[in-house]
Amino acid sequence: MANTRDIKRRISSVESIGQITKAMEMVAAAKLRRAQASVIASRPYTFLQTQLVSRLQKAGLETSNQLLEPGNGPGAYIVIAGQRGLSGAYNANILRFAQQVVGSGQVIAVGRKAKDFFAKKGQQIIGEYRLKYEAPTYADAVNILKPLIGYFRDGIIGSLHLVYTEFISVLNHRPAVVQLLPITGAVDTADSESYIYEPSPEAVLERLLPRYLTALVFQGLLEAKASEYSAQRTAMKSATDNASEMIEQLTLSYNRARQTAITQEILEVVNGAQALEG
Amino acid sequence: MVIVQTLDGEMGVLPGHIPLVAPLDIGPMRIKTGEVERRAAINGGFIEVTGSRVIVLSEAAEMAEEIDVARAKSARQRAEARLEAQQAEIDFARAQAALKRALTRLKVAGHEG
Repeated sequence: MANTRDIKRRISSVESIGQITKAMEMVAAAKLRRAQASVIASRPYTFLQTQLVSRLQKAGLETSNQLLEPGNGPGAYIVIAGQRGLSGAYNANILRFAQQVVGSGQVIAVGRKAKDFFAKKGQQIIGEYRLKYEAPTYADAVNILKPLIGYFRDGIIGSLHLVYTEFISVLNHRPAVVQLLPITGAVDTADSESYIYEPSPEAVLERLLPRYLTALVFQGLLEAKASEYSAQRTAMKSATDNASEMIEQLTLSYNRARQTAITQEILEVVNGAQALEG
Repeated sequence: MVIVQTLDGEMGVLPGHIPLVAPLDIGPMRIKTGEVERRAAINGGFIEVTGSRVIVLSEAAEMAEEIDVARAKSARQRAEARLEAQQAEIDFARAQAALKRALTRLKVAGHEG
């Protein structure tokens, strides 16, 4: 049986690990709250933006825009994963899903984990974007998309999809994929109006479509971030729980070892005394 | 009534307006309900009008009471300083947009000039 000093040392190291994971859990929980609020705040904008584009398409456009036409060229996929680990199965789940979806397509990796994963697989990475660890900004979405819209217009890529983790609730998130380019009417709208376009349908689409795409990417970034924080919180919580369970067991064996040592000492004293008497 | 700043100029929308979609410029928006008027600073975007409702889609917008006047003022000073420095083309366009945003916010918040 391990001696008491070893066990004591292990208890204190498990204790300090538990303290760290507990702190990380609290940090993730605080960030999750903020991320969750921004996901929810941003949803109506994205939804209405999507609805507007769908309605315009349904109303029948007399004009066309290159972003609505199927392109020739390989498909490309924006894959959003975490910038670092310690978030349970979050990165593994999204990357496993992404690999199936992407197939032999090209990858735009958002987050270091996505880049490392596809680089190791030897997938063709045509873009790489690092997210700052805090909340994603609208500017991030603009910067990610800008070159890609150019690639699509120039025929370098034929289609573009976004692969991200959808935040359903704190305990539930799942990998999702949406098509960005060519733009298809995403939601079905019952009412279809025929609109007047000021100043012209071409001008409206030219401004509207890139904004619509940016809104989708931004929403994807926010959803992914909230999912990541919630996965991180869950992972850290179970690590903390495991640590306290381990401490309990170690304390038990520490007490047992201490008891054994005392018994041993008493036996020795008694034996010694008997030897002297005899 | 909703009054917005489209790229073509100011536009007022009354109930029952024909369905319309128009891009918005950086500028103030006014919403009049009866005697009450609310103002907001709009950082570009779109207005969509259907028979019964108006949707304004903007990446950034602030109601008058939410505007941080001190921040808007310092943004205006920064933009003006950049415009005076006159560096590359692209900086110029960006600084101009920034100045417009700051002026709009100050105007909406009621701190003109």
